[in-house]
Amino acid sequence: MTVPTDYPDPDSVTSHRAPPGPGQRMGLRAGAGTLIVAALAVGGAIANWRPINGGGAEARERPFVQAGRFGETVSTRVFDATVLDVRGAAKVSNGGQSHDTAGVWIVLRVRLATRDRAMSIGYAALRDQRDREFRATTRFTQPLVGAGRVLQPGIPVEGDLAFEVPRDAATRLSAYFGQEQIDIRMDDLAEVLLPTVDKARVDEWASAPAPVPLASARAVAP
Amino acid sequence: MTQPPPVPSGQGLDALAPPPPAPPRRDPLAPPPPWTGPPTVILRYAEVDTAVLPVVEPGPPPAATPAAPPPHPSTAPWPVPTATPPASFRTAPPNPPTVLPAALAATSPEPGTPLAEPGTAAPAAPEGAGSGQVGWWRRNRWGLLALLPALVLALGPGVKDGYEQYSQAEYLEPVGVGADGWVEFAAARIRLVELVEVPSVPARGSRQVTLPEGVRVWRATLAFELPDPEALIGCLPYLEDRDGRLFSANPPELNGARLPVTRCAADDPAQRSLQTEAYFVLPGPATPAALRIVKATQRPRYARLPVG
Repeated sequence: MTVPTDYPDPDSVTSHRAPPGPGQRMGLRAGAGTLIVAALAVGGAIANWRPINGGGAEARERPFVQAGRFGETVSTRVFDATVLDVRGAAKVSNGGQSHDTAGVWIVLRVRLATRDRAMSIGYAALRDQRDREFRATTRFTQPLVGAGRVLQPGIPVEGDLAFEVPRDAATRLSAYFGQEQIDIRMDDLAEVLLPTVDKARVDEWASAPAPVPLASARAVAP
Repeated sequence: MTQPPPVPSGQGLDALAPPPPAPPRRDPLAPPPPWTGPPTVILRYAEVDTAVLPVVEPGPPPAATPAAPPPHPSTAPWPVPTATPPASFRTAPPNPPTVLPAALAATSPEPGTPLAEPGTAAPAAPEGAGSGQVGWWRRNRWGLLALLPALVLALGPGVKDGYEQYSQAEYLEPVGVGADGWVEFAAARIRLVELVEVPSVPARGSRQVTLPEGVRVWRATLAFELPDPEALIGCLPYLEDRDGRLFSANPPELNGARLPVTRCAADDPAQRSLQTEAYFVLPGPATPAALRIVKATQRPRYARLPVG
């Protein structure tokens, strides 16, 4: 038998694959469907992965900090903050009642103003050189922070904020202000580096017997 | 004595035989003689479903003469071979040419043109018309059908989550007033009766209201029609100035003033209409532009009543 040269030689076909039968076809399709579902499951798991304090979440979701100096207005996206004065005391008085401390009170005179809409300043804190955070005290009501005082756009409000800190932390502090009260991730923060004080000055504050009265918040001229 | 011619080495006496006669010449236009030899199969490849399968089909016999061109299979008068192809082969129906897959045919100069094979080309049968060759769409029909639910599963949760976050984040969709000056909002009707600047506000008891310089006080009067007495419970009025800033009603700057309570629902459930007042403090240069009524459960919609 001879085969024309225009056609392939049957003997030259070295391997073949049999056509899949009905059952095998169903198996192939089921396998493809399983792979699709598995891909969706894996993709969904990755897309919905919310690591808690993992994968650099703390750094990735850190606040947007606008830094400024003492006495200057620090502008964030939604509000302006100015630290006008820093005082220290062993006791503070608010509403006719005095409050002492085992550390020292740091009292800031601040001016706050919102930009676009009525809102409250929910976060006020001091941080020392060891990055320890001291929130504005909750031992008594401070109407300038929290949900108590709603600021109107373009109408600044001044008042005192009291913080209770250890003596060793009082020498060099930074003040932070933000809109959110609890969750400050990816929030706007205003940072103001406070003037450095020496330890002798801190001891003097801590030994002063007279309480320092806290000024209530009041609106000032725009 | 005559010596015989020398015998070539290795050929024996055949070398001395006369040459065989030349085969008779054949008319090239005459039909070829019938094939009497064993059946011949030609292997070709065609894409069937997802596997490339060798297709066994009857092929032409070897040429009768070296000069004769190989005849076309579909016109070859040879008897159909009776040999049974191997079990692993699929016997293709008697239409031969391999047609480009649809995806490849799209790039071909003439889509659907059979692969040019000299002597074997034939018009391609319509796709899916029993030709035994399956196009791309048909081969992938299950995948294409599964694509729609797969997309829904893949994108649906994200779209739903995004829409919910969008709806709950901000008041983004204002509802404007109709021709009669009323706003249909949250199954209630709202109208801005007036917005006026007031020179001062009355103090409560012996207290005094001290406002900083450079601010002005505005009073808005609102009318509500409440088919449902609780339709607007929890609503909050805001005053919007021309710069888009939003001022809340009855702010802390007015602490100590004797102000009416701004309410969005009547004390008497049988009462279907209500009028209330709200006070605002704005910086001196600010000019009111509209009054907004927001309600958390209606986000992102809010009622916007332009001033004037």
